[in-house]
Amino acid sequence: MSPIEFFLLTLTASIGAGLLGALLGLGGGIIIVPFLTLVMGVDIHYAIGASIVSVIATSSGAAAAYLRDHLSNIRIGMFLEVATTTGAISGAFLAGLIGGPVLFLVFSVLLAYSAVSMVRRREDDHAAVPVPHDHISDTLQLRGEYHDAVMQKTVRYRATHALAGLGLMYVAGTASGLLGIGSGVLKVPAMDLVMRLPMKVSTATSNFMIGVTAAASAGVYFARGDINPFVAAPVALGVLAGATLGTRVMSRMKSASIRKVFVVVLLVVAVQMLQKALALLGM
Amino acid sequence: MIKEHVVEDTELERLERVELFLSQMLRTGVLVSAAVILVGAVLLFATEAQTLLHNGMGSIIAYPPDPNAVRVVHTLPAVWAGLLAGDPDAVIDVGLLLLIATPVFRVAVSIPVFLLQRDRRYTLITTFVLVVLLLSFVIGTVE
Repeated sequence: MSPIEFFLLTLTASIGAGLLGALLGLGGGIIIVPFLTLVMGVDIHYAIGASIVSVIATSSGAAAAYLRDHLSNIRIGMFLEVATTTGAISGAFLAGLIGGPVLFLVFSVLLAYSAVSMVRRREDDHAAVPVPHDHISDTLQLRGEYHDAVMQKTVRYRATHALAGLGLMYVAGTASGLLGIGSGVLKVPAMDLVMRLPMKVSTATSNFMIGVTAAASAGVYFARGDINPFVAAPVALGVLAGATLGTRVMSRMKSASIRKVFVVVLLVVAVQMLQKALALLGM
Repeated sequence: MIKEHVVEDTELERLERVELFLSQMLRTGVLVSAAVILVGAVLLFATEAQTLLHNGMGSIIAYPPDPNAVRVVHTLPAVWAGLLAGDPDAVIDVGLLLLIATPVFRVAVSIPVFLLQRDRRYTLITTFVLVVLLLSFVIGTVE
């Protein structure tokens, strides 16, 4: 493959990844890392370094849209970022220490988990159920309200189990730093199921946090020399273009059917990443 | 009681306007960095197409990097030096670094916003996040 072919092919695939990511509420990273490693033969460290930069592009690019609908909670996001950024640095640091096979293995597990959580994805809100009082949540004003267009009313909510949420966010941050993904698939359940925030608030706040989390690990990757400009440039440009396009057409498409197809794709890729791990280990 | 509520609301609205303004600035930042990356990529193919072809993909994406094929730099002075030398890779790096800097900038600006609200707890929390972000650039090199 010539360099120009590599560039154009990666650019095209990244546009597709950004588009799909926006339609399914996933980051492009979960698609782009397997593509670069399995199809293009790029080392997983470069793949992760390129992916983490594209994650920042999508998150920062979409931040205005999430804030305009008053769903993302800045306070909750900032509080949890204490854990996600610390976790991201730990993860990025860890990625430098452990070898390719383990990275492929962990990535494979995360892909499988993402597939499962997409099947079980719920859209309903449980904000009406009173949540138990939590000292930290009260002190740090982890609460808010938003107007629900479907239910035609203002939903008030407050968080609970702030410390457990913080712990899970450290794990989500570590996964993000280790694998170069936004890890919204881990952030959303931490807020939705553990801190008992409404689903819409959890999703919007997670999207808001992803860029900051990714910036923490991107710093480590850059300083280590894992961000190869030749790989990162087409990925960043492609994912950004695809995600911008994806948010535009999102309202016009039914995502349920795409989601079913994508669950299968995720599982297939998970198996391939697992095979790659085993092959690298010589098994 | 009612009056107090009204005051609170307008302050909330003002805060929302600030947040929205910041987010729109972020989007501008992303677009600017994308433009810089694009310029760097075009320059790379315009000026070094033969070298790239000669080196081949294998050495461009070799890990750890092959110093003869691609300039994977990891310090700000190295990026600056490359830029002065008219190196297209360095232009791409500047775009990538601008992109990485956008969320850092977003967090940094939140500090005076919380400070103006006299919210000491969140000023502290936000400062901590900013310090972690800035430390990340140092940690990778220490390793």
